[in-house]
Amino acid sequence: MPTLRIDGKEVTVENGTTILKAAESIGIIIPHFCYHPELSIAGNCRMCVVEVERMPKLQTACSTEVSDGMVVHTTTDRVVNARRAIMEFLLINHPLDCPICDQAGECRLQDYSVRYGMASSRFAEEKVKSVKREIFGPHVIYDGERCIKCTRCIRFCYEITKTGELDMFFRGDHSTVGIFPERDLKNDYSGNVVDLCPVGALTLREFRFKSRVWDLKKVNTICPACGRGCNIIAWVKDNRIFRLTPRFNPHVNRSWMCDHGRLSHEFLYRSERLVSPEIMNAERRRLNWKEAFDCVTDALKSILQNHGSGSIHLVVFPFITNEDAFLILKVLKDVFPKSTVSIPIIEIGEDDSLLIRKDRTPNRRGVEEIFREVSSRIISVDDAAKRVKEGMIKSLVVLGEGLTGANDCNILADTPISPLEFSLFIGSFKPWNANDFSAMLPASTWAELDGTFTNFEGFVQRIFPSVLSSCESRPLWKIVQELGSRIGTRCAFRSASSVFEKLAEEHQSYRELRYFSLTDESRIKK
Amino acid sequence: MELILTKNIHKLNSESIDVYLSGGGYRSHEKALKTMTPDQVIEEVKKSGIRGRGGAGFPMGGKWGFVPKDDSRPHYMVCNADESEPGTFKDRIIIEKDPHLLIEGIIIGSYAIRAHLAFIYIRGEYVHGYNILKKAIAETYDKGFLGKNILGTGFNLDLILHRGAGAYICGEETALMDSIEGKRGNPRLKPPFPAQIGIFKNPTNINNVETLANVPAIIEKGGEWYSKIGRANNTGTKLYCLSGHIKRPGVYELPLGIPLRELIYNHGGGMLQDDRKLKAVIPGGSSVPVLTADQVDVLMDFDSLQAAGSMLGSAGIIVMDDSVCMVKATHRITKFYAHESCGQCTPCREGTGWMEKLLRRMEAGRGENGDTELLYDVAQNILGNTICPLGDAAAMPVMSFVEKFREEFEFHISNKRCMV
Repeated sequence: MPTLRIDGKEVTVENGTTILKAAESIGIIIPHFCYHPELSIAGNCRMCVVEVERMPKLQTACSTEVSDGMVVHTTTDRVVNARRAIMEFLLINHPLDCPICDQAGECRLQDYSVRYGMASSRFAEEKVKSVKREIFGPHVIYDGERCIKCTRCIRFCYEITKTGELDMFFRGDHSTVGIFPERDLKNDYSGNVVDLCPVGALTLREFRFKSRVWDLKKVNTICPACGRGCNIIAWVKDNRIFRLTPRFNPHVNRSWMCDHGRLSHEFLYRSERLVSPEIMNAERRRLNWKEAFDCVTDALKSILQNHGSGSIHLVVFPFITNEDAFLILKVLKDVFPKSTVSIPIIEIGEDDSLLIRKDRTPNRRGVEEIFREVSSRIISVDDAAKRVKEGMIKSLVVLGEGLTGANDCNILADTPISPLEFSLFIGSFKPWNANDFSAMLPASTWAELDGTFTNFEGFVQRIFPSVLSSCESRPLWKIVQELGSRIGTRCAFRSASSVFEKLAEEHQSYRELRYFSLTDESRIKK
Repeated sequence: MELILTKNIHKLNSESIDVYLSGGGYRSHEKALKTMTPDQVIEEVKKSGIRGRGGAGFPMGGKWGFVPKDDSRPHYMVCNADESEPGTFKDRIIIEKDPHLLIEGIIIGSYAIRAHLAFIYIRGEYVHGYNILKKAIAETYDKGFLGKNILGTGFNLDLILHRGAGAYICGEETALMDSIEGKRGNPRLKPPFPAQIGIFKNPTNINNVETLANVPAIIEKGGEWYSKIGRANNTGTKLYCLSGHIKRPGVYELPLGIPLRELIYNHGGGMLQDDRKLKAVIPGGSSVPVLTADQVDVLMDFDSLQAAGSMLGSAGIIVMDDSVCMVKATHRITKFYAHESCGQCTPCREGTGWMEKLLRRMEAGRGENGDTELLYDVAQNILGNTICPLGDAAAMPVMSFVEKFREEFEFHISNKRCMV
């Protein structure tokens, strides 16, 4: 374990650590463009040069491994002058179009210019012309004049997705990132190159020109698009999500997210929202919540009286949070003791080797874990459909479909609902067969909720409300709680956290987890 | 003086294996393979004191010694025949006139570093040289000097001839390795050095054509003998490439340490036009700092030229008389490096282009006050801050031309024309 001194501070690190990482471990941040912890070392931007005693040349901190007794200086005049020179070089052919550049506000060139930039340019020549808006793929567009040729995007495509669509073309100051002939940057993770780009050269076609980044509020949350549960940041303005970007979590998604997840917020604005409770009562009517609860409770009570709870079937989509699932479990145990449940499978394609899970629901693991107590009552959707046909099921309650906005999955397609005595839908978006339901209650989407998802590996992760509900929706667990207490359960939780605390108390797998102290590593017990 | 590298070139059909054999060729590799261990070969080369002829002047024996001995990975021997430095045409003579001297050197070198696969990376423009080498390698295979079980010693060696595609940067050893691997030739970060992680991540040794062509003589006559040629720490003979304003340009084989004056006036026949005066000499290919006329008494070897503030480099000596505009000369050199910069690292990519544009403007009579200082400053900002030596190669001539001929740059700016 070598010990070295960086700017007078002593630090001991593992063999093979680079100066940049060693410095980072004691809080000295060395500026850099091309270095990225997840990618191979390129050492081409030369911004991270530092002075190492007994070495004649300045060394790149990103690539130089430490050795015992090394003495490193990161702020000497020589280092600062070299960085000034690098900044000058990077900016001579740069368009300096910050006022119209999407990267402004999160641009490394801007940030480092504050410290290492010059007030005026010494460059009096004509700038190198390059491509301004080359379409790399369905999500990514390239500006060659803003590009600083750090090759992060190229390395990402070679090393992480292993698809290798991009490479450097031409030489010298005419070199430019390009795409190989007859290829498109359309791998499942192409959006990540936009996050990787330290400048405004690569922009997301869905986000560019939509907003200045400093106007956006950042909310840490979880991607709802598959079982992986990538940690993400939702960028919000005017009560609307503008973009989603990955948030580093070494155990779940590292620094990446897939394109499907990156654009999952678009579903929220694409489908028709269920804005208020609707009851089919001779004619379709919108009711307020109190009337709606009265109606639904009466209907459920009469079914219970006439046919017993065995005639009620619940379809629980694993788009719901753990808290929702816990309240549903309470109702299943207390007032629907003989009801059956099915948890539809929603799968697209195959699991890939990086992040994407074929299971496109964010909380299957959590729902199954919580429903383990009633596992004998879980039947498949096909069996449920059969029982409907045979008349054993008189009433259907569909929970959570479309909670993430992904309501294009026609899971109920083959299950006729209209002949049933009573059918209840609790979800966020109008299902394709909305007219068949006796009653529909609007639930909040994942973007409006507090709660937790359990990913396929058992990591329990909190989601946070990014936006306020624009309609009368309520969290699903609150709706279930209200219905349950009107029929006969006894619970009165006030917040998602109190539901989770109770869940942790009652459920073996969740024991010892605390809602407000969930970390990157919190996971359910096997 | 006994010729080592050019002893065969005047023979008829000197490139054929029969002529080479009749001149005593392929005796050294037999001696090495049959009577010496690889370590003894390295020892002999170390004794000779020979330093790399590609430009950097690193001792060859030491370089061979860096290749790990107890390593299960395959080792590779590479001959760098990507001779592209402006003013340099020495390797070409060996390749075209005496290819077997080179091949014999490669076989001995491969044996010494325990390589069973060797490459010759030849620049794409050397089409004639490529054809000759191709034929020479085929002949060598036919004689059994290459291939399996060479001369019954159990030593196997294959030799691959690889053509470059026209990039100057592929003469830089790590870019050359990338190019051999089939990638775009970009220099790699060092460390790791090629001896540890080279071609296909295996230990690799790279030597220049001229360096390897010395090996047969060293093995035949001993390192001791070789070390007596030239000067201390600068042993052996050297191929000097004379070009520019000189009566007899060409390749001259002479011992290291010969005075530059002697080269220009005795061997080169003096200035091309007798009424012109010597103005400047670039002693080691266009990338090294220029010498002024009063510096021509310098000895042409690694150490003396370094002491004089320049470098031996590839010994491509470009002679300029007083008709040369130094701004134009600087621009021409800089244009080459700006064109050949791989574009990988910031200072070289942006800086060489900037210098080229600045010089173009000055040369066109649109220079402004302060441009000379700016030019010098840009060059200084490139120097030492790049991944590979191309940045230095672009910066050093600019800095030296400005240092030594500043008044010409200033004249160009204020009078909008050449001083000469």
